[in-house]
Amino acid sequence: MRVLRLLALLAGLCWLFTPLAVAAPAVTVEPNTINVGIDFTGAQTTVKGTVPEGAQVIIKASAPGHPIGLSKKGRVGGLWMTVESVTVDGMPGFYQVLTSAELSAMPPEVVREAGVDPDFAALTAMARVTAKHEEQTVVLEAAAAEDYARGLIDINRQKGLYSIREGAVSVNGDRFEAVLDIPAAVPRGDIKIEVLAVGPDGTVSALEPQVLKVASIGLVKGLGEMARTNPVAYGLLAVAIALTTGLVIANLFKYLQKLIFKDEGVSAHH
Amino acid sequence: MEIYLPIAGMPVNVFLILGLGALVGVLSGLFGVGGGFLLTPLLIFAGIPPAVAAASDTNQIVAASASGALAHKRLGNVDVKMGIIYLIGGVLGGTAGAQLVRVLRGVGNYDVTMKIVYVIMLTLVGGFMLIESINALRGKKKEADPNKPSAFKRFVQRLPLQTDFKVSGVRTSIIFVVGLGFVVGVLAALLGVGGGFITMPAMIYLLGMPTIVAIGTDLFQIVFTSMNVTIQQAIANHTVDVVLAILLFCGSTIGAQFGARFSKRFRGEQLRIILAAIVLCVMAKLVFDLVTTPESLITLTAGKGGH
Repeated sequence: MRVLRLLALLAGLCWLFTPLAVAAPAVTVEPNTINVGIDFTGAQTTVKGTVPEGAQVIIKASAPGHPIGLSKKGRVGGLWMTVESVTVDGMPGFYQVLTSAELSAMPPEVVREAGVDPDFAALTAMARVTAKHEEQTVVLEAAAAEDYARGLIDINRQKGLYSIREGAVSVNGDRFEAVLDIPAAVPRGDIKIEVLAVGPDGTVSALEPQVLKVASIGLVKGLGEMARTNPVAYGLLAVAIALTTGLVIANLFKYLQKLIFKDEGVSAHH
Repeated sequence: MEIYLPIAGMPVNVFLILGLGALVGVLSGLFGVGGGFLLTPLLIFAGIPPAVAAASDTNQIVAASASGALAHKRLGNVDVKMGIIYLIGGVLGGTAGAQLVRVLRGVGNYDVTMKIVYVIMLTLVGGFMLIESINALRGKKKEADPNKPSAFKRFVQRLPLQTDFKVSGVRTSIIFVVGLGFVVGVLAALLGVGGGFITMPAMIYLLGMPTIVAIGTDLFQIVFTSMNVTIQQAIANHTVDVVLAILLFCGSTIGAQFGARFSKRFRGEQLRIILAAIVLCVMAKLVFDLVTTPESLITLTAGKGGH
């Protein structure tokens, strides 16, 4: 028994000290959780770590996307309305690339392989665009599909979800550091953060990827989840809140008016 | 100070929303109108997605009309029989309207449809008010001949299911009342309005109800129609942002207090010209948005995908 216990203790000690034995993870994300609460207006997170000296750094932060509905507007009788609706699948929900140097200064094959071209070519290639024609799903041909993929890229760039920021990573000796801007429209879920170190000779080494968690909290989480999973209860709650607030505030104002103006107040409908 | 709207999924400036609420509140206090028909377009101009703007405005109307309806009920100004028959149409219309919104959003044409309907409504309301108040200022009185009812009135009188409404002191067809409620219910869901600008003239001019009973009965039906539309929108479209609704309501309540006090200093006709001008300006901005080339021809289809 004693031997067993000793062994167990040793095993425990080994387990405890293992993390100290290897070097700290080469990449840290601080903070590594983004909370979307009622006061959320966007956030920033710092990505830093160590790379071999003299290396250039590419940071790619991406999150998987959902199928997105897109509409194409056209002029119908002088008015702009939707003339075609499609669904775009396969595009990320979040895609930011930060580099320590101009992408043009990096080996083209590295840029291509990492899928970080300045014009998001890697993303348009991933897009699968389908339209429904009389209950049949039709995959759009390349040129038309690219139009929509470009449109979605523009929308996501405007929302701050997609960006390519050349020179946004600062490298000092073997240390690198960059600040990711997380916009208010950020999708909930995990954002994968990958770091590539590009040596002066063009050799590429990938550092261990990290995860940035984006989660709703508090009222945003409670109301958002309820509205999605139990819309009837949410609707009833919205009505109950409105009725209560309406009656309480109306009475409060009547009371205040009596207090301040010494009159019965003015009804909104008179 | 920014606040993140849980359903709209975007941060907004609290003071901007309170301010819009207050602006519409001042107008409703000044003119004695609900103001929902101005609030939805103003929210759209402020960048709130049209479907969220309309549904949250409906939610706000529940809060805004509750105490007024209760007060009028206590004073005996509500024709409950009329109100309930009206509500049969209102509830059916609101439910159908929320489904219509869902279908239109699915094909990506809700925004343009609601803006077109808004332009029509605002043109009629604004134009009518403007002409009427200009005539009133000139001292002209509309020559109404009580012995010669309009063609529409005669049509309503010929409809089956004629019933007496004792509180209002009128006799009309149940079909007409239900039909009117249905139209207002559909508009309530499509536009996020209470529909007072249709209900009031219809009750006063077409049915001949006393103004105070028309006001009480309209408020009574608005509370229940908006409650139903809020729930239907939550189910069909997930577009009711209760945080946005409460902010708007707080703003409009404060605004209404000032509006009601200002209104004593102006003549009714002058007030109506100002309101008509505001309504027509909002209409013009909507027309401008409809005909100008959008910044991007490819847009997100609301109600599909997203986060």
